[in-house]
Amino acid sequence: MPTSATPPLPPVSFEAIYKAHHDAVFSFLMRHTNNHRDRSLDLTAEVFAQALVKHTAGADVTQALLVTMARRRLIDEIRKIERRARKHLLLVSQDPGHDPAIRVEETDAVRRTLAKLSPLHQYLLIARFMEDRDVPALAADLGRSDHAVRSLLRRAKAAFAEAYSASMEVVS
Amino acid sequence: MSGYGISESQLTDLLRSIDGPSAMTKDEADQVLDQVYRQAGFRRSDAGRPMRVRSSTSPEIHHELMLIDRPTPVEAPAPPMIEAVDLVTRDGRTVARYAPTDGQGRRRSLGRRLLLTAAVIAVLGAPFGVFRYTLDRPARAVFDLQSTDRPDVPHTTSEPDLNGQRRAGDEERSSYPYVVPQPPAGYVPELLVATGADLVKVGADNGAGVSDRLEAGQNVVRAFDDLGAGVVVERIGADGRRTISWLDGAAERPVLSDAILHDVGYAGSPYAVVETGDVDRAAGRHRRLEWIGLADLERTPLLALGEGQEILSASASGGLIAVALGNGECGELRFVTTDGDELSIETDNGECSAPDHADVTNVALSPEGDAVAYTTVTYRPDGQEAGTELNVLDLATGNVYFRRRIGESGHGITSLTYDGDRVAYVLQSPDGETVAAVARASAGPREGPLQAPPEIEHIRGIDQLSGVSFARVPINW
Repeated sequence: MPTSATPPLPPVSFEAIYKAHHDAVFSFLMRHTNNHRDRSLDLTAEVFAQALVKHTAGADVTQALLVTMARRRLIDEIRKIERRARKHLLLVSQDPGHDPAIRVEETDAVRRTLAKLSPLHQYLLIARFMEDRDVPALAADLGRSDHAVRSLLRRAKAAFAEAYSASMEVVS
Repeated sequence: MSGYGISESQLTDLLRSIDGPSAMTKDEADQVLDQVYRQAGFRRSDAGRPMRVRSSTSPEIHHELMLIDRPTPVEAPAPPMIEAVDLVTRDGRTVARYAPTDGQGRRRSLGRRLLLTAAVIAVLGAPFGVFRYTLDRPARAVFDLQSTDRPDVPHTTSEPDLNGQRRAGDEERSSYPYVVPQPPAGYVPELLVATGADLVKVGADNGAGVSDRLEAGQNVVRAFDDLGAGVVVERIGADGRRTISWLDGAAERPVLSDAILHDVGYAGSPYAVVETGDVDRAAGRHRRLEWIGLADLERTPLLALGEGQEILSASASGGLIAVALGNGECGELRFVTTDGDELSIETDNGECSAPDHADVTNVALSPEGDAVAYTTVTYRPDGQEAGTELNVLDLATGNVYFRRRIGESGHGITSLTYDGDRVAYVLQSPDGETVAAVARASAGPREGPLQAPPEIEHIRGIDQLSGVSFARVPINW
């Protein structure tokens, strides 16, 4: 009796993978870097460079894999920024370029508030409240304990509320 | 919206309001793709157009081939090689020297350093000296294992494989110089209480009750976990002499005598923050703060005290050390790294010259090093003492997100510790009575259905108290 074997899927070119997924990866990074375009473009390039190597080695590069790689790159970037910050002054605003006296829309206020937070706090708030990642997943991302992540989340929320409230007071 | 209060649904709505579409322009996408090929070591010109070929066996299947060269190998710098290893005693004598090779006459690279150290320790027993390495070239970034911040060292988190799992050996590809040990999932830090007579462990499960008395010997005045299941203790003997010892499970190792133990941190291996000099004299001279590696007993100075200065308290986390420094009139917070760099971090404890300035008296860093708890004695405008306040400052933002009074006029805090969520301290009343308490230093409402515990709970069943510290990982020695 003849057997019906599933035909192998045709290999996909890397450029096709790139075209299909670069917007998803870039959007993910833009969201997490608070719309920092240059940083997002650089990180996107790093993610796809890694993906290109995997692709030529025969790996199946899916969007899920690309986003996971983007998340790892982002966390590396956050750690790098934190290490640099720890070496110098810590208590400086992350976004000194904005003029607080300017009246802003609410979404701009949220963006400006996020920009005042540390990269780690930004990452935690967005991953937890926009992407619904739970505490164990965040702990695995960051290589920290659940307990530490809960503490960090509490501090991130408090920092956001404080900065947002101050920002809205300026507006009103 | 109040300063510190924000509900999760409010936060979710606010954050989701900013999530709009974002896409690269065509030019940006093209530039990024160029960058991708360059970073991956490919030449994009060779990538060219995909070539379609028809399979001879399955005509309906098209194979798309990419004309891509193999990645151009990147010349990686060779690691520094060890010329010689000397074993040097504490008084500076070289007692052994050897030039390690790999059995074929080739020298060992620096990456073997820790293995060699472990091998020699295994042969000689407890380390009685230090290892000094002579390298064939300067290699500070790799060699300086005590530094927290090393921007020259590339840092890469290992990539997951196709199933999202990390592979065995990935940690070696990650160039994190070291990883501070993390507790197992679900671990709630236990409290170590030094009573002056012995050492007591207070479990998190049974609230404020005593769970265990540890056999750390007599006269323990301070104890800290070593982030590896052991503890480091300071004892005061019958002759009044202070000794610091490391109890790591295998043995009790002497660390230092005539010194005060302030905390234990971790920078590649555990180290103790100690105060040395004439520590038992009120006007002691040559006092300084140092850190000492527990494995190699190598000492590195951090702060030399000036005339009239005293160390009120010190706390370590990773390569960061916070110090509460007094000058006879005021107390202030200082931050140094194990590299000896001093960081400028401002706290709002006021101007010393003002009559109502607040004096910092104790300090405790969170295990992650991202927040610091400290106590201040506050004064009324007429200069009279008002009480003691507990503050928690987020080091990344500079926000003090927790502040409340924990002592009245005349009370003193003699020990302080912070696990990132709770602060424990020893409060001494004017008549000398001591009590240990745990305060939950959280901001905003607690999450989940848990009944919030009393904000401050006192630990019962321990009479004499001299020091408290949270065990950052479970102690099983």
